[in-house]
Formats: sequence, structure tokens, C-alpha cells
Amino acid sequence: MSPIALTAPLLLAAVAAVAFGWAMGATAAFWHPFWDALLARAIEASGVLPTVLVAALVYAHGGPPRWVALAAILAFLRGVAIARLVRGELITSSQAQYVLAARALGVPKWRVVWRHVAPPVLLRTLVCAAAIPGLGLAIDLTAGILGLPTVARWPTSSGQPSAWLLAGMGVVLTSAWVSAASWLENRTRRHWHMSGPQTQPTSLVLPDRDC
Amino acid sequence: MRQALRRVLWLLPTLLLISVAAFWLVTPQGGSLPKFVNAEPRSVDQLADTALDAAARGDRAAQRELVRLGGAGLPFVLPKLDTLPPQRRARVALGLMPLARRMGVQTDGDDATPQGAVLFWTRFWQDRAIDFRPAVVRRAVRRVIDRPSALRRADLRALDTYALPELIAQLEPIRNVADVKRAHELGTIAARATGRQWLAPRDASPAVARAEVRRWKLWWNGKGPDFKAPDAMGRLGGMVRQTQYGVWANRTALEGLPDADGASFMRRTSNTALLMLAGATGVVAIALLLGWATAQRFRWFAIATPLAGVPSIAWMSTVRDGGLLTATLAMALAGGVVYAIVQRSALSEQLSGTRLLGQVALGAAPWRVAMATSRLTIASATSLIGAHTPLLLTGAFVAEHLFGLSGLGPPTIRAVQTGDTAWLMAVAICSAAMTALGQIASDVMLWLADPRSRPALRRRRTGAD
Repeated sequence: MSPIALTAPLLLAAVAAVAFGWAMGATAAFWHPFWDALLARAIEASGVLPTVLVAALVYAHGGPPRWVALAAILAFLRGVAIARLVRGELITSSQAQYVLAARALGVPKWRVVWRHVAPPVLLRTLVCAAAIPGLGLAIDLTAGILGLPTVARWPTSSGQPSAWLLAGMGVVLTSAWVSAASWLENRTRRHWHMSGPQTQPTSLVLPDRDC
Repeated sequence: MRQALRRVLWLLPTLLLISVAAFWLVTPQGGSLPKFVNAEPRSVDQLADTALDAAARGDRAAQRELVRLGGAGLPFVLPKLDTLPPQRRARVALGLMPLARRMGVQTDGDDATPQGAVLFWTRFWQDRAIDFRPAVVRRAVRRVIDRPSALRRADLRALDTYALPELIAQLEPIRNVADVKRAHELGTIAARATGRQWLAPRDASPAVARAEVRRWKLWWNGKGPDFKAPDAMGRLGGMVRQTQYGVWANRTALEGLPDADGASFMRRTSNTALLMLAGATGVVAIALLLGWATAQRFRWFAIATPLAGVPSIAWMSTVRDGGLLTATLAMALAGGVVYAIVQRSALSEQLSGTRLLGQVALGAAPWRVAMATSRLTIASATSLIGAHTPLLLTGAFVAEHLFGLSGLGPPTIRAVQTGDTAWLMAVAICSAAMTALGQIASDVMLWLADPRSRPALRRRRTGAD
């Protein structure tokens, strides 16, 4: 599989990560504290091993094709990170003044969430998700450099200087994805007439902690 | 600080949970034991019953199994001897005669006929059943330890494998020559009962004896359940201990962290940690520079950092003789480059505050601007480092691979390829501990660097955010 073809399952992984992250994050934010504690433990567990090693171990176990395994791993691990972001942002947004005002005006709860709470959180989520394809490519490339099994065919030879250049390319690729997503977020926010600091108070304090 | 201490205390249970998750991931499917829960843990009573049924039918392997179980199995075999039909009873009694020889309780001619063997074991149990009690075993072992004599050794030898739990427990501790002699005395008796060898001589050094005791403990870790009849709590514990995870945990407790290629795990960890620290330092250094440059409107700096950084790292990788120093510099630069790429826009947004803009517009000295931006950029950098410790670890692995350094990387890659569970688990737990400690350290630094973060961190502690 070529690196470009690998992008397709990685995009699917990004979609799955957003869905998983939203389900888990919203559950942790609004339901029983047990789910919150479970999310905290999942976050800690997701950082146990570098993703490149996790992928290599899963490949070694056999089972589904490697591209499926890589997409599933990224969907889960990045989904947990997105869940953390969603949880924090939902809690913060639900206490914002414009949300309280909407509630005071008698707007139904589902509409408050749909119209006022979710959109800014969704934007930040999409930025995180947009990095996933680039991250996946970088992980696969790193595996190639380390001599571990890869999904895509990378032109690396272990220990050669070109490996660093390729790693740099991976970083730049990830950066391009992140930049594109940030640009999209800014455009959409302007379109919705939402100013950053009002909708993202935590980003001032803990910038990009979760992505 | 209270919160940091609280999180450090929570580290142990968290690591326990993480070790379970990591074990699930790193161990391959299959194996003779279940991974985490053994619904039917082995015990001598269960093994003896199974072997007795088969031995009564004339199964030679089952008769050998009864002999292997030895004295530990007798309380579950001999009382049932009378319930068997005569022919089957004779088969079992005859099959057990090698055990009688091992225990040193056989008299000449006892095994000549099946009837003689049955009569021997019936009388043996009538005479000696009272000796097969834990209290008696403890006393017999204590007597041998206090004043070894042929008679006392014979008493213990007659209990055979029934005495093993107490014998193994009394092998430790070994601090001096007297302890070596005690371990040799008990180890020799245990060796006779199990058919294994006690390799440390009576006049061995404490270090040699300790190594021998560790070898026996490792063996007992796997085979111990074959010679014990646990109570209800013991059976419950066996459900966890007699699993792949339980065996690994016991083995790690006995052996400690694994070695690779002659270098200890901790030594390799220190090399890797140095590289990770270099990466973190690079992040903070570039963050400070980037913050200052952004405040001064030197936009080119953020773009130039990765453009210059990546080729520089590539060039560094060609300096083969550079070793650790070059690798450290490369890691620092790589950390900075990643920070510049990922945090550039976020940092720009944070530094767009009116106070800072006002300072610059009013012509504040560069060092004043640097001081003003440093708090924000350090906060940004530390939060990034805390959340991405595994990324630093990956970077360290790559650097070790490219520069041929002795760290955790090369053996870990080998362990992934060969399925070395012990090493992978050690790396997983070490990585989890480093990640958790890194996050705590980054929160403490964030607390110190940026007072505005304190309410958010307090809310996180109380669960409000």
C-alpha cells in the first residue's frame, strides 16, 4: 500500500475517533462520575506505550489487516484524547453566560446543547481529528525507520541519513494537516461570528493540551 | 503541592491497572494458563484425585504423577485407598512404592507383592497420618534448622513434598555463613523430594546461595500449587496467581527488572531519560525564543525553525562518531521543531493580549518583552511536554536507533519482534510512570509559571473541570 492510499483508512480513523471521543466525552461530562473516572484511567492507559510499539504488537498478534489495525488503534487512542477535550470543553461551555442566558430564556435543553454548547467544541474537535491522518503516516514512517512492520511501503533503509529527512517530511506533513484544520476552524468561526476567547476560556490556560 | 502529592500516591494503583492493560496487549494469545483469571486453579488435592482415578485403572503416567506429587498428595490418596476395589487398590499401592523408597520409610520386602504394598501403605497411614499437619511440619523444619541431625532429617524426609511450602519459605533470608548452612540443609531435603538439584555447596558464599534460593523460588512460583492444598482464601488467590499475569508479577518480584545485552534496565532507562530530557529542554528553549519572536512580530522565526531544524537534524545523523552528545542535541532540536510546528498558531493567539502588545508598542526593552512572554510560553511548553511524554519516548527510540546508543530502544524493538513479555512489560510500566510523573511535573511547573492556570488546576482536582 502506498502512503497516499494509507490516507483513506486514516481519514476513516479520524471520523471514528471523533464519534468515539464525542460519545465518551459527553458521557463523562454529563452522566455519572464513574464514566469520568473511567475516562481518566483510559487516558492514563492510552499513554502507556508509544503508539508505534502498540501498532507493532497488534500486528504481531495477527488478526485484521494492518491498515485496519492501525486505523483502529488511532481511532481509539486519539478518540480518548478527543474525549478528554470534549469533556472539558462541554463542561466549560455549559457554564458560559450565553448558555445560561439561553436556558433562562426557556430554550429546550437539547437545543441549548445543539445550538450553543456543541458548535465551538466541535470545531476544536475537528482540529484534533484533522491531525490524525498525518499522525498515522508519521507513526508508520517511524515504524519503518525502527525496522518494525509498516502498512505503507516507505523508501527507508534502517540507519541511513535519509531516515531523518523522511521523518522530517512526516512532521511537515502532520503540520500541514494541522494548519489546514486550524485555517478551516478560523474560517468557520468567523462565519458563525464566534470570537475565540469567549468560547475557549480554557485554551488560554492549558493550550492544546489534548491534541 | 497537595494535589501533586495526592497524584503521586495515586500512581501505584494506577500503575497496577495500567500493568493489567499493558499485559493484555503485550502477551500473545494462547498459553497453558489463562491471562488474568483462572476459574480452576491447580491444587494438590485436585491433581491427586485425578491421578488416583487413572492410576487405579493401571495408567503408568498417573502412577508416576502420584509419585511426583509425593507426600503432599498422600493425605488425599491414602484415605481413599480402602474405597477402591482390591485389584485397583493394589495397583495404586504398588505404584506408590517408589515414593516410599524416596521417603526412606520402606522396609525390605514391602513391595514384593501387591498385598504387601497395600498392607504397607495402610499401616503407614495409620501410624503417620498425624504427622501430615502444618504444625508438625513447622516443628520438624525448625528442629532441623536449630540442630540438624540424621534422625531429624529423616523425620523431615518422611514428610517428603508435604514439607515443601515450609522448606521453601525458610530458605530465606541469607545474610551470613550460618544462613548459607541453613539453606543448604533445607535445600538438600527439598531437592531429594522434588528430584531437583541444590547447587550451592555448604561453604558457598552468601551471594551464591542467594542466587540458588532465587532459582528455587522461581521454580516454586510455577510449580508450588502442585504441592499445596489451599484453603478458601488461598484458592481465591490461586485464581489470580495461577495466571500468566500472576506468574509474571511473581517472577518480576523475585527477579527484578530484566537485563539486556549485559546492561541493566535502569542503566538503559537513564540513557533514554537523558534523551527525553534533552527533547523537553529543546521544547522549552524554542518555546521561549518563539514566544519572544512572536511578541516582537518576527514571524519568520516560527517558519525558519522547522525549515532549518529538519535539515540540521538530518546532518547530525550523519555524524556517526558524535554519540550521545550529538543525539542529545538532535533530540533537543527535534523537540523544538515539533513545538514550533504544533504550537505556533496557538502561541500567536495567546500572545495577542493587549498588555503585551502595549508593551511592545511603547518600545519596551527586548528583555522585558522576553520576561513577559516567558510565563506564557513556559506554560504552553510544559503542558505540551506533560501530555506527550510517549512522543518523547518514541523520539528517544529513534535517536538511539540512528546513533547506535545503548538505551531502552534497541532491546524494546527486539522484544516486540520476539515477543519478550518481561521486557515489554517493564518498558510499559516505566513509560507509564514517566508519563504520569511528567504530567505531575508539568502541572507543578504550570502552577509556578502561570498564576492564571491555578483556578483551572484547582477545578481539575475537585472534578469541576
